[in-house]
Amino acid sequence: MTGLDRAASLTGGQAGRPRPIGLSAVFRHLARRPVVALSWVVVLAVMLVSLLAPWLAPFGPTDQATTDRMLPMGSDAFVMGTDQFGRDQLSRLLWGGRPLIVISLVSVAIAIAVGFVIGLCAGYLRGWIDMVLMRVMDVILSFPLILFAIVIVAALGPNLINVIIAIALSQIPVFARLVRALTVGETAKEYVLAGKAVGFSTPRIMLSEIAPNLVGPVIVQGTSVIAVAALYSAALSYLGLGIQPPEPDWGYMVKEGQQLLFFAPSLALVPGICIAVFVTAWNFIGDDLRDLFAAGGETMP
Amino acid sequence: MIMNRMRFPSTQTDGRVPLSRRQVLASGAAGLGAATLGLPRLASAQDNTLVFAVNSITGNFEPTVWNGFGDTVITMDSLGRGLTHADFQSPEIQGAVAESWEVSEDGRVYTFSIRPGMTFHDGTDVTARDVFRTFNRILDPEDPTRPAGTGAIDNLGGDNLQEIELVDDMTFRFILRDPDAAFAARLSRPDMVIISGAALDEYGSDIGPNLVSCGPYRLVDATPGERAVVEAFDDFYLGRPSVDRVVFQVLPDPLALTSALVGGTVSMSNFVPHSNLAQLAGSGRVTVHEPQAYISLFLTMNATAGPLSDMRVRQAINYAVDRDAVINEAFFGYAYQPAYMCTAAQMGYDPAQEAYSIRDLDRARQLIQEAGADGATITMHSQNQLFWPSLGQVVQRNLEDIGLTIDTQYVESGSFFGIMFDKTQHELGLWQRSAFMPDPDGKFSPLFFSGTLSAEDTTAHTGLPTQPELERRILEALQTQDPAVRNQLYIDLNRFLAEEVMVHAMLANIYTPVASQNDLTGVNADGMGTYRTFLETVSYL
Repeated sequence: MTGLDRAASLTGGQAGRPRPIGLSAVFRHLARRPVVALSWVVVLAVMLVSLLAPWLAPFGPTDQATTDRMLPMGSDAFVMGTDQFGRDQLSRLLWGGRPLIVISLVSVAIAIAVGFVIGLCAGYLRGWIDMVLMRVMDVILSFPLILFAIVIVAALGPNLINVIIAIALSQIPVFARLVRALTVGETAKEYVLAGKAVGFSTPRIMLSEIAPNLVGPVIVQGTSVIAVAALYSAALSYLGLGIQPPEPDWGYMVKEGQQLLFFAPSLALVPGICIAVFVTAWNFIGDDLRDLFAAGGETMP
Repeated sequence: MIMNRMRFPSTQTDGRVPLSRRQVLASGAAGLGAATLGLPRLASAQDNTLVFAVNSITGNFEPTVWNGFGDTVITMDSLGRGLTHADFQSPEIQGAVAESWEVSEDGRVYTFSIRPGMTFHDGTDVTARDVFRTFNRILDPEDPTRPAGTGAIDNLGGDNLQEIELVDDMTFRFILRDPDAAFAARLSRPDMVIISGAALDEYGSDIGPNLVSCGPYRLVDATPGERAVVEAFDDFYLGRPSVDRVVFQVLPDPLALTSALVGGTVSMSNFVPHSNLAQLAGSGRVTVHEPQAYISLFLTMNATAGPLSDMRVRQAINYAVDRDAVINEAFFGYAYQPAYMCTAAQMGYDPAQEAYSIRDLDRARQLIQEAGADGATITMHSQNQLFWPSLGQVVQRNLEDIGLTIDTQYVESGSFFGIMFDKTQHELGLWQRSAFMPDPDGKFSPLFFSGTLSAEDTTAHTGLPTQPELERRILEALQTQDPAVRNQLYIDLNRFLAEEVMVHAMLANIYTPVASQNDLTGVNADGMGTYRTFLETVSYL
């Protein structure tokens, strides 16, 4: 084996990559951690129900039956009751999770994509590029994140796209800093040095050699941030800066129901519980993935 | 003898009732809220203290600058008094700092006699010199005590005020360019309270946090964002108020406010959410008042914007609104059917004009078809707080019933006014016209008359060019002194606006919800229903 061949064999970054895990191993893992299993069930169920809302909901989520206003839970045609406009609460609940799910998943995906590129460039190229990019991230981080999101939505206007942009922007530094730190560590490893030695281009080293080794921790971090993004989404809606009425949204349903809390507590409590359960489930999932990653997958045979 | 002159260039039960489980829970929430928010201990007759919940307090009580309802209206009504006083329980304008006044035959000169023996909170006598200084700082840009950003001259009639005169120590005079039958009422506004000259000497333009006037209560302490404390003024001209001490407590969260009222940590408020009034009324502890309505709520239509430039579309929108739904769904029944711009409590109200505010879907659809506006998309702006989103959802549904597509934008208040004052940025908007004086002119001149600065801003939301006939009618009504004739002129003015202009679709006549503990009496609910408070009449049973 020539020196060049030996160097080439070290590239590919295989050392840090997790082993492929079989489905049976996943089930065995979840069987030992029932709370995590339940969390997956909750998250998947919420997503499925939201996806199927047009077929599951007995009424349109914005249909107003003015003769059926403020009906209590358990009413004949309205299992979950109606609100002050005569809208079916069950239908609104089924539809109301959609914005939360879309906003949290899409905004985190955008934050990961942008943060990944920024962190990778900063961590590998270093120098002034690193300094400029990280100072920009520091500036964003210097704002309280919810305030940052509020300012963006207030400036751009309240709608789904702008909420996604606001939350994504506020979360980019989280991933940029993580990826930068990981990249700095990877850059000193043999496979990267070997890649340089055999003349791999900088983009190839960054994208083909280093990047694959960062995916795991970034996904774990992303899972945790989904819960944060969901909370921001609900908070912005609660503040009137998210999905605009009459479109259903759990966060705004809490706001609308709050004024009727003494009269019809379910109008605020049920969507509030939905938000809490969804966010808590994501947190359990994120914690579990983090534990797995920290243990290098050893707990999952 | 004229001592000074200034000319201006043109410019029920005792509450001991068994509590339900829900009330116990609510009281518990109140206790928790009180502990969290640092509310004072239970307001009670024992220490003769009253806790009044407000939505904000900045601690700046400068009368001529708007600092929000907490400072400007609630507290100011306790600290200050103007030359005149309107209690909103009767249409009569009463004397306050002025014991009496005379109006010249041509209606242009108002001469006020200052009430003898009246004193400010600092112990100095109230004289016409103080009155002169109070109004000079509003009117004279060179006055060293003039606060920055004051627009109070508009509330005195704008360019119509020609001159003020200090006739002698106890006599003061206003000279107007044209008669103004609302002038005495204007002087009762909270921005017209008379300020101690000695205090102005001491504090200059920074009088706001140190306001010294002659109202029923004197300022003891104010913590911005938290509370203001006032104590009964022994030398108030109508006698010392019954309640010794009032704590104006900032409590912006409607749920916490409701809990605090049920739990007894708050004595009264006019910031209670409409949705909770029925619950409060059923609690057995709190009296929910149903004041007269002075506030008009309407959908304003930009007559220069797209399909709204066609009068038929504006008429169709007016016919489309379901006022019953507005009253029941957005205000939970605590509002009144509108006639046109004037409410039943005001001059110019004619119940027959409720015909302008009826729902007629067939007529509305026909007008939309005739105008070729079927399916047209129109943007509607609304504030995103309080009752506005509920109102927006009802109106949107109503307008979509006649084939329009409504894109409703709910924005925070600051953005909302910026958008609405620029006729290029909006089409429809949900708006209200409050009344800090009972006179009906407050519904017309500031909205339509091009002679005032405020009108230059506010007419922007209708996009109307100058309307000579409309302005002639407004001036005629304003300059007429005879109440009966004036009443008819305002009725005619309403008719003209509804039939010939139609840039406002009336939605409801509303009041700010007023709730007070059952052991309080003498609550001026009508005044409180229009954001004012006159706590000198309140006492514990």
